[in-house]
Amino acid sequence: MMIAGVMEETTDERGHMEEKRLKTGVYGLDAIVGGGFRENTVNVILGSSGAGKTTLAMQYLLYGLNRGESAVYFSLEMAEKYIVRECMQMGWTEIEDHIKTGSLKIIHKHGEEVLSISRELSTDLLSIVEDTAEPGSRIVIDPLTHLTFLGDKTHRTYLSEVFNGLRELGTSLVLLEEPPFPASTNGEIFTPMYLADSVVHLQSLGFGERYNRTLRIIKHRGSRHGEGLYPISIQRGLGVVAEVSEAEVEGITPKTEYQDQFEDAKARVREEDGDLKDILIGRLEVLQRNWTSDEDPASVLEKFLDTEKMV
Amino acid sequence: MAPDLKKALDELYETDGIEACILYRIDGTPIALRTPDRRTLMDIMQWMENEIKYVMGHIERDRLEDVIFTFKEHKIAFHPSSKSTVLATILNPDAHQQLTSLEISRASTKIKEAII
Repeated sequence: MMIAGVMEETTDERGHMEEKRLKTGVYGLDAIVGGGFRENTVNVILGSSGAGKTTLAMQYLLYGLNRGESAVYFSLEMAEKYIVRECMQMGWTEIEDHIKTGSLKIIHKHGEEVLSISRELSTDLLSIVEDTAEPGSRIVIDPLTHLTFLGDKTHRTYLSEVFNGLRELGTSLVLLEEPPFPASTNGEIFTPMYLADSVVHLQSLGFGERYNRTLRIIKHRGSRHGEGLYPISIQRGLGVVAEVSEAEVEGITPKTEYQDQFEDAKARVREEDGDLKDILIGRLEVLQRNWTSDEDPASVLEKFLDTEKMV
Repeated sequence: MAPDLKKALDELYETDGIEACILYRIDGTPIALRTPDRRTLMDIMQWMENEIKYVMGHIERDRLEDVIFTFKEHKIAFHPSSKSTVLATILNPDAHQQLTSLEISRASTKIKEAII
């Protein structure tokens, strides 16, 4: 069951339909990821211990659960009672009701028992989640790290299978432990980051001050997103709160003041002969809908027309 | 970005002789920047990106007040603005040294207030 406001199918000011988004439930985050996570995607939350990954993941799940969605929490570290305890500490007491009603299912496996990802494991993991999750569920895997240790060349293939399976099942958050020393990393964090649809990086450096805890969007496929370094705080009762100013949101909002230039470019394409006209106009319309820069698009449009031989 | 932090950077950027200013976190991550155009000064900014961790290591270890690099056309000043941030400023050859030094110090103080 889904109720209004959880998943949004948005239209821009010109009425173009945009992809469905799942609101993240993280205060301030939706504004910098184009409205939420894209439906049926795998989203990596990368961060060192204590950065706020599990808190963010629970926020994501509870936001949907409190609005009638279903969710699966696949834990490779904490047992269910400890997850519940952490939620109670945060003031998220409704978690017990969600477990009782079955809308939230928590699966616990010991990460150490599944140190290396294999075809069997990827199949097992998917079948467990598949058996548990309702279509369109919010899914969390916390953390994926154990599954990527000791990986060989084939682990990328298995991981890719896991990610593709998760996309079929719902919209997932995959939590990934960031090693303390980047030089010590092999493929264990880069492969999942490469395969994921989006990567949110949480940092907690431990020196205090406003930029001690931060959030950054490393990538968000098929979506515009904020490129800044955003201070975050973890507030009891609320969870992760990202500090995003109106000016920063404005910076990733499509601009409408250059419409004439886009229309002129489209008119120039229409004047040409050839089979590519519709494709090229389509590209210009996508560019027009997603032009977030304050800079004049003239130079970009000239390059486009020049490369496509419209000048 | 916090309005007081934004204001401090905006005011510094308006100072004569200052072509760009970038606020770095101590791990070398840029927090905010003010440049005339993203394409201009690209070479210098790339150099700064590569050097920032090394320079900050020296500032921290030797407790330096600031570090200035002189290039053919530009000067680059690194000034610790709080215990977790460093303010980097790119100055043009015509910049008045005392005036810009004063403005950088003033901005650093404001940044410190905004950051803590």
